[in-house]
Amino acid sequence: MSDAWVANLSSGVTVVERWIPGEMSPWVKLMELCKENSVWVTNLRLTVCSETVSLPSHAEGYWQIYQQTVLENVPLEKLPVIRGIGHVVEDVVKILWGVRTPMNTAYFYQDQRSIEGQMSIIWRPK
Amino acid sequence: LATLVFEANYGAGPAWTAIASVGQLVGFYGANFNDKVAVSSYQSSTHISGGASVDICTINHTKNVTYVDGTHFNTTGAGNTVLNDTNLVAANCTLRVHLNHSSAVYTQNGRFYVYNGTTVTSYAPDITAYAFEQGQSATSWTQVGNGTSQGGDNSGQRLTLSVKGSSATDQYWYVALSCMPMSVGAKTAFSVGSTIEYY
Repeated sequence: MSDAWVANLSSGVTVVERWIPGEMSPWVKLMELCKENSVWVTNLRLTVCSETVSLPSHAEGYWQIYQQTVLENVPLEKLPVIRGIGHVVEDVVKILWGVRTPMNTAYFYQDQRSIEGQMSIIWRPK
Repeated sequence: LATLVFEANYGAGPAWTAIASVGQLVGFYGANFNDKVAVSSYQSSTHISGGASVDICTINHTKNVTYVDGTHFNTTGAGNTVLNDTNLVAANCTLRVHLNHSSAVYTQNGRFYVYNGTTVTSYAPDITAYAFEQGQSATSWTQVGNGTSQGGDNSGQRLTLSVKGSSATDQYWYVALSCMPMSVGAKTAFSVGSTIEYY
């Protein structure tokens, strides 16, 4: 399986990340789908290099991001591909970053940040 | 899926042109390419150099923006202009950070930094550097390196780039950068980087 996030929704539907050129990003599409249909994410997991990590189920909210870096005089293929998924606990997003190295190996690490300014959170209804 | 590149506004036109990820560097000089910058002075010209110290931007050199003080700049090596979006237009910035994606994306948490060319969280030694993002109503430079302890991709030691709250397949950030050597000799432990988050 290629690198992707997979979201389970409160409606029972499972959504798999799929980029389609010319369309909105799959996460933005998921945000709109949840808003329009009054459903929410109940679980989120991420696969990188065939390794999968999952977040706790039924969190207040879920978050996803890609991180892209440019370094002068460093070719793109020598930089890792970094992406993160997270879940909200009170006023913090607890993040699991997944890294695909240039050697196509994966590792994951934890991080957290304030929810302030994080516009990609899909919230569970209060 | 995505590419993130530095671009400079030079050449015929001039036009924003990607700086090759191998063999091309943004460099800060005296009046002309390869002229030294005096210690404790800021550069008078900016160029894109290729292999064997060749000036790539021979027609319409890369735009130069020189730090004067915290709220002033000049572009010609003389003068003293108030730093704001009116006086420093996007086309005159040193670099453009360009994110391209096949799908429209939003961005957040962007940053621009100067580091030692090896470790992104390490400062560039013996170089004082200031940066400014055009188009965000800023009126002062941000110090992105003090040459002794500060700089690199560290909170409070880098330039925060604006959030792009409208989705697009191409997102741009216009950055001015000015550098001052603190000691004699070419400064090779110096590089620039940028990191953008998108969704």
